[in-house]
Amino acid sequence: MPDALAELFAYRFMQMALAACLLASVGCGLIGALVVVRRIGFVAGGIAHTVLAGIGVAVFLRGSPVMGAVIAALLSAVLIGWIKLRWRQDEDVLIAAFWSVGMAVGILFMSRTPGYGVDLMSYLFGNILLITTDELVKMALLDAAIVALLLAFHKQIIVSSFDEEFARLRGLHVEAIYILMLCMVALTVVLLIQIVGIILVIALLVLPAAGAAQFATSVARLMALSVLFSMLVTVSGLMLSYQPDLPSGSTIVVLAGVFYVFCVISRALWRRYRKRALAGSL
Amino acid sequence: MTSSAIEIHDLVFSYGGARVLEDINLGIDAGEFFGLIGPNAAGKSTLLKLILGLLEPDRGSIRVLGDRPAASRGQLGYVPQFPTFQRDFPITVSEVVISGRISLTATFGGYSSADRGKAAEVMTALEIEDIAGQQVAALSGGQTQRMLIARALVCDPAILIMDEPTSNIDIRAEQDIFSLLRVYNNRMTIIVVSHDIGFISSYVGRVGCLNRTLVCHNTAELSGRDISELYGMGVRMIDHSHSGHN
Repeated sequence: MPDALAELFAYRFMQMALAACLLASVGCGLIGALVVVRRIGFVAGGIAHTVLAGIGVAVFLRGSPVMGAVIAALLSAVLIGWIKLRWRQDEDVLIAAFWSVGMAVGILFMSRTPGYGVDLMSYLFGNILLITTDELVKMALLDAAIVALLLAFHKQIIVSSFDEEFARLRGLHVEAIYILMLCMVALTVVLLIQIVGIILVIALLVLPAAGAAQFATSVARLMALSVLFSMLVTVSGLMLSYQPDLPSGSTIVVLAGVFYVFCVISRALWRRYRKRALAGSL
Repeated sequence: MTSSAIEIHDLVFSYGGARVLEDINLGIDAGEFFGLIGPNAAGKSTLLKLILGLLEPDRGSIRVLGDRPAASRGQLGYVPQFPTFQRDFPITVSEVVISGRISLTATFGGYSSADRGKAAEVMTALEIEDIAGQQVAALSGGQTQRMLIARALVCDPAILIMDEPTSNIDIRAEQDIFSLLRVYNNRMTIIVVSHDIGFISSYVGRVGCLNRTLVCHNTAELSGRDISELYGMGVRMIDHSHSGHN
């Protein structure tokens, strides 16, 4: 097995892919934990799909697709948060609108890009094996931004997520904190698009953290555990997909789903075992 | 010299078309232990929300510590009737208690050791130091209530406002909490909402009875009488004075 592993990661592109998985897992685990406790998985989905508009426009203007993605993600995060809070629009409707209109705009721009072999599929489903050093550096920068924001504002984010009315009474700007959090989700989405693509982002953002939530007693532990679970799922998905030449993004996501079910079942079993042990000791 | 904690003049408030509060006049001095009682849907929680600045009056004025309610909010400790948080949130008792320091501590980064010391002190006073590491989801009603009171006390409020603080706990825990509040009353004004007039009248200095309009009674004036008579008298008096408005 160690030989097989060494062989697997002897290739440069596999080393790069491994690095990408580990880098993406940092942001994914940290922000996934917030997405799960705030229950905003579908807001994240809305932001992810709007990103295609940014990529489409960037490709059309011959700019950097990652920059386009970052701008579109942040813009949609601010707009979704702002429209929801300012005009009290239904989040559900907002997400549906951003989700589909964002994708449509992206596809329109790509279809009008002359002489450019736009690989729509790799944006939609990710292509981790084609990752470049430049992209790895950008991923590290996104991670750094996410970690810095969390270190600075984790108190406010946790308090206003736990008890919004109390946070407001203590003078916190609950709305600003919510929008800040959506912006962090937006950066994470861009980070993950490199790995699994736009369509599968929600799965990777939500599943490892939801699995970790079965065992965590505080947000800090939840974050640490979900970073670990993200690494586990992405790296093993990458390795599993290699030999049979499966699409790596989809393999990772299926594995994430299986892993989540495993977490839920093992907690249920653990509880039953504890109950029995307790009953037995009486 | 006693300064004023809360001053309310000719306050009127309605939800939609329904008038909930009418011609409320109330002055609470700094250091008072004030009880607010009344039947369900009498407007007790609404009056508290107005004092907290979460609602705006239709007419009349409210001054809290000499300022607009929203401006004085930082100096108020509030314990809601129903916990407003998600029960399954992964957070421990000590993390919840220390979060009461959020507006007093540094904006960036974590809590200071002074915050931690203050939180530990309040948790000891409320006898919840041994459940400090427990998850909120696993708490009983009484433990939750103590945690919420600790969270309100940890910011050293000038006024502590509690909405039915003992509705989820047994009678002994209730007595413990009120005895403790009496100690804290040396440092702060306390306003307690309750539907249980008999019980709170043995602790508070003054009772305001709210049923759309407000009538205040001094509990000290009644202290010499037989306890059962006090309850009966209290209730009758209040019934009587409200029937005049109807």
